[in-house]
Amino acid sequence: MPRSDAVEYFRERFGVEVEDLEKISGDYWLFTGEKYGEPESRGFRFLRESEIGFKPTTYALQYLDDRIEKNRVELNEEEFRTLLEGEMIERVMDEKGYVALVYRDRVVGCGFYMDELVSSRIPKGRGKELLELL
Amino acid sequence: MERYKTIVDDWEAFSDTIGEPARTTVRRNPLKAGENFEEQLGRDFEHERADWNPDVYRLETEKPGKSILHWRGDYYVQEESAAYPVTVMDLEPGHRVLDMCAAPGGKTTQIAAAIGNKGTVVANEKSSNRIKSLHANANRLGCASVDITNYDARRMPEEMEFDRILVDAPCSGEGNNIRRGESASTEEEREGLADLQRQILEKACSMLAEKGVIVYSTCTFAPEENEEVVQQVLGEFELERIEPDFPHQRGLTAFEEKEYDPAMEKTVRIYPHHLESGGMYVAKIRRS
Repeated sequence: MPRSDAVEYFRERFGVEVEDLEKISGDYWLFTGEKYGEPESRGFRFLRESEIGFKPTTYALQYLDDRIEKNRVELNEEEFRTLLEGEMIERVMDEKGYVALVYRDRVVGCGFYMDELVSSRIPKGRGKELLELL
Repeated sequence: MERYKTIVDDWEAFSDTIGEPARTTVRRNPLKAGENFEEQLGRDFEHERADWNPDVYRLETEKPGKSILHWRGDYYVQEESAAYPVTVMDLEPGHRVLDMCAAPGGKTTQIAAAIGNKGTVVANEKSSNRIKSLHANANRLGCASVDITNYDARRMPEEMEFDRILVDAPCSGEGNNIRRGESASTEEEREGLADLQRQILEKACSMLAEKGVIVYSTCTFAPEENEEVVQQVLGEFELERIEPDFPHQRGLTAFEEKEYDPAMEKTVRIYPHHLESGGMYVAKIRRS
């Protein structure tokens, strides 16, 4: 899908304008600079693309943080712990799709909402580290 | 460390730092930290702000990495003295910046924050093991302006000129080793490293834009790796005096049997007792 679809996804789903997205090996990366030499990476991975659609990365949603206006899920400690342990929590939202998980006023990562349930999409290893910090 | 007895400003204080842990400090990451960062930091740690740099916080803990704020990339754990070199680079949004020896990324992420992710930061690391930590930290801290490359710093392509270059050179690390009770580096170590440092600094000079600035730093006390390395580029390049707002010592103009250019006095030595931190040497270089 073209870059404009990725921009539109963030606008529609999270109510935020994103620039400087670059498609590299099938995913979109946020890179604000100029290319030099043969880099191992440029900026950081922002949006994955698959046959079923877009999935924002946890790093992307953390970076956008309080600019995210829609599909935020505020969590208390118990709910956050439940999600990181691989369980789901109940919520009623408008539409199925990815959400920004918010804890102590900060976006901590990516989640998924469907059928009045929210689950975590924070990468397992990172989630395990986080669980030890709660 | 006895070889430095004649040059250290307060030998007793310097000696007392041996065996004492460095003060725990973290640097706020404005690319991710919110306006209430200080309040949030206070939930996890007792802290005070460093008076010379509002982004540096001194924490009362031995485990500064154990917090959600750290996990999220709102701060970076960094020795206080190590946060100094980037502050003299006069960084502005739009700059092209090269960090030649970048892992684990403390200074790279500080540079990206200083230009507000507006511009280009080429973060180069030769070691394919150490580059992993650079990737992890650049991702965690939201460094969208950073290109990570894996060149030998001496052989980087000269396809771009840079407004600012940081040469945080591989060194004998005496400024940190002192806390582990290790002795000064050997002559052989110093000679090998000084040769490498010279080559990297020469490469930096060849990649610098017309009105650019190079900051050269190490975390060692050895003049052979500091003043002696910087001195070799004088002529075509000159030093700009740097003046930290905390206790420090001027660069050396003589050591043992050797004399250095008087301009070396414009450079700065930070000893462990100055900031209860690691040792650091910093020089700021411009084209003449």
